[in-house]
Amino acid sequence: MKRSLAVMAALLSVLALYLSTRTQAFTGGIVDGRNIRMLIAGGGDATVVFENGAGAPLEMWGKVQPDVSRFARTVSYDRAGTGLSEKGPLPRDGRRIAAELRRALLSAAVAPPYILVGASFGGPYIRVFAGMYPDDVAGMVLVDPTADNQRFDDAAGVPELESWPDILDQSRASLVPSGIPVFLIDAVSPLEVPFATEAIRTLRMKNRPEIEADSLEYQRWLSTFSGGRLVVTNHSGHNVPIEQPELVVATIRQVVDEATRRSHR
Amino acid sequence: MRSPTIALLWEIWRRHWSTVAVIGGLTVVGRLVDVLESRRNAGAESSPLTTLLAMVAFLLLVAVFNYTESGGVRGVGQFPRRLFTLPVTSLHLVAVPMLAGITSIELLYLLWMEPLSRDGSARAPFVAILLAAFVVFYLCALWTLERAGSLRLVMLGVIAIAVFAIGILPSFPPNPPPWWRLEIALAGLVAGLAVIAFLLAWRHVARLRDGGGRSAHRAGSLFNWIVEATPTRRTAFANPAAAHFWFEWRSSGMVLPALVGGVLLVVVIPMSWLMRSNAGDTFRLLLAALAAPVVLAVPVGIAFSKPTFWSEDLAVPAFVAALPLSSEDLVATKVRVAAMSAVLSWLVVLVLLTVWLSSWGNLDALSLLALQLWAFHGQSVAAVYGIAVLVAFAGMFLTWRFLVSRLWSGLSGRRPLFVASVVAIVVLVIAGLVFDADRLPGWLLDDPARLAPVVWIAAIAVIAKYWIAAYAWRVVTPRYLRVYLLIWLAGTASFLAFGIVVWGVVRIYLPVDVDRLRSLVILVALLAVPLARVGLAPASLTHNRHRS
Repeated sequence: MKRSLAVMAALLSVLALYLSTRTQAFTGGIVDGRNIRMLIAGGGDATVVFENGAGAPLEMWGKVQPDVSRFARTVSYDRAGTGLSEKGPLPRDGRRIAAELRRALLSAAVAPPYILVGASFGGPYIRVFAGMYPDDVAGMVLVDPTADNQRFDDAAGVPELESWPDILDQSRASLVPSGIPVFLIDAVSPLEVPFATEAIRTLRMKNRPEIEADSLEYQRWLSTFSGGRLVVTNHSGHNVPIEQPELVVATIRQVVDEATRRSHR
Repeated sequence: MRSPTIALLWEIWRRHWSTVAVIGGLTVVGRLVDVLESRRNAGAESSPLTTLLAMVAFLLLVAVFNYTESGGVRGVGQFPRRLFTLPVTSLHLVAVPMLAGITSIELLYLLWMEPLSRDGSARAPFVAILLAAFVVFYLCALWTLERAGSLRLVMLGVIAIAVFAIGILPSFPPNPPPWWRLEIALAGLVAGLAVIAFLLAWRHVARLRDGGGRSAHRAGSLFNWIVEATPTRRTAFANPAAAHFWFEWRSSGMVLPALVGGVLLVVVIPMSWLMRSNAGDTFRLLLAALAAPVVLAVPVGIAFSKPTFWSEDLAVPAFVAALPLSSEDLVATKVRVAAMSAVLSWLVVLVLLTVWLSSWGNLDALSLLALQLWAFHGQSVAAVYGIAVLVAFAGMFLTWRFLVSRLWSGLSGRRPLFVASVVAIVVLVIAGLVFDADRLPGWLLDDPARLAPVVWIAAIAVIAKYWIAAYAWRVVTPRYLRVYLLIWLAGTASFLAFGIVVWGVVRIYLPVDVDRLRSLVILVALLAVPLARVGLAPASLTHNRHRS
């Protein structure tokens, strides 16, 4: 037996055994007997709940949740029918999803108040939640959310998008709880990007008016209540939690701090 | 025998009746499997198992019509010289095996036509002409290129790939294709080339029968002129190891770069021109080009692991056995030749890709991928270039790994051991096809609990590998161990870095237990570079070297 290799084999054996025991602890929330996959981490006075974009699993917060968990209790989850959660009843509109989230949180013993963070299509969902349960919401962060004037030509294979007109109507009709901090991150994408071919540049320019229209819609919505703030970034495209996670973490931190100060008053 | 034709045909039958029986058996089983699959899933494409059985049947038929006999000083297969004494014309000698081959392959195609034509867009008469032409090209290359020695095998591979590429040409966009890519035009071209190939083969055999003649002399002179013109080493070698490295490189190291270059030039580059308007096709072709060295390294690695690349004999040649070099030196030479072969193969790929992508490549899909990686990694251009370099490095190590991973069995001289190690990979490929291996990631991701046993199996494999390595290297001198450990470290680090990059992206988009996924990535990286098997190789070679 070669001694140096035997030492290496012993060390690597320990490493292999250690690695084979490593596992992520998911929490199973229960809604009407159906399993909802949740990832609960961190600790603190504030509870941050993440709402995913359309069809995305909770892993989309993989670059954000670990950092937020350092200063708050965090919950990410798969809505029914997405990721690894069981399918839920139809129609999948905003009110049903908000009600299911609340039941899932309570079944996992996660008590309100919550600071809701919604990305993309998660934005309208958290607005509906705040409108339905105003006392349960201490703050909101909307990360490049789907704007109220958005239209979808097709559901692109995502079942929950089939109810988009109802979801956006319910979102528009929801009132923001008074006085809570609300931050909206508007990702306008950099104008010049490396590696882009002529066709890609043309496509990006073609999408520009849509991005600008969204920005105007965000400003209009934020002006309808007090306490709303706009954070504009041109260092990220639509996937802000993936492209600029540090901005999302910093914004959540601000909302957590303000919500904590507000609760102590 | 009533006629020389029947005698010639009888001889082919007598030599290969058992292979023909296997082909028949495979065909019966394949058609039965297809019938059962069709009943279960009407209108679906033929199953991978059916396709595989068909492929094996056709390959065996090609082997049956390898109408050569070993001869000459080097024992290279050549047209059977003993047939020259038969009372028949040279045309007869050439035409009988060619026509028998064409008839047999058409008959086999007829039996397999229904399941095979269900998937493809090519019409049956076009495929039939391609198959007949392939038999002619194949026999023509076998007979006329006997002086090319080992390069003849490379040429045969290029011919097969070229015929396949012609077969799929009409299916490329735009649809309908231009006149020169219509099946009828291509069939005419291939048939014309086949006639020329037949005439060449006939002329060659006739001249051989006449004792060489002027053309043989001219061909010989041309061959000698090429040999003289190519750069030849004229200085003395510094030591026996350097001389052996040169010998190994010339006899086996150049094969993979030549094969990779051939495939890229004959298939990928022409296809890239045809697909230049489609970004998705360009991207898929780019992936295929990057996979080429790795995929080709698997079969080349099997031949490379033997003492002599081109010989079926697993014994160490006396010339090598008598060298004033230890078994460790000989294995180290093989390992270095494999490294140079892998690096050169990747250089060929990178040079050709640079020419293609910078000249006529449609870069839209590649640009999108680069943009996503750039955005994903904090808008870092360096990260994107870093990932590109990492892909090339990991690819090189993977290619090299497939070249050296079977040295322990190939150099041992024990045929059952060598065959078992080769069969293991064949069985793995067949199992992958039968059980649709591409569904495995999806199956694993459907339920995170399924990852657990996979991680445990990988962990046990890691433990076994490193303890066997500690045992295997016990008789190898520390100098070799130190050098090889550096190679192992570089390779493992490359795979680990590449795996972590992939894991970093995958963990964000897929619902999975990311901790288990990370463990699996690390364990696979620890398994990727051979350590125990390379450690066993010198002892295997020593046994083989001194057994006589």
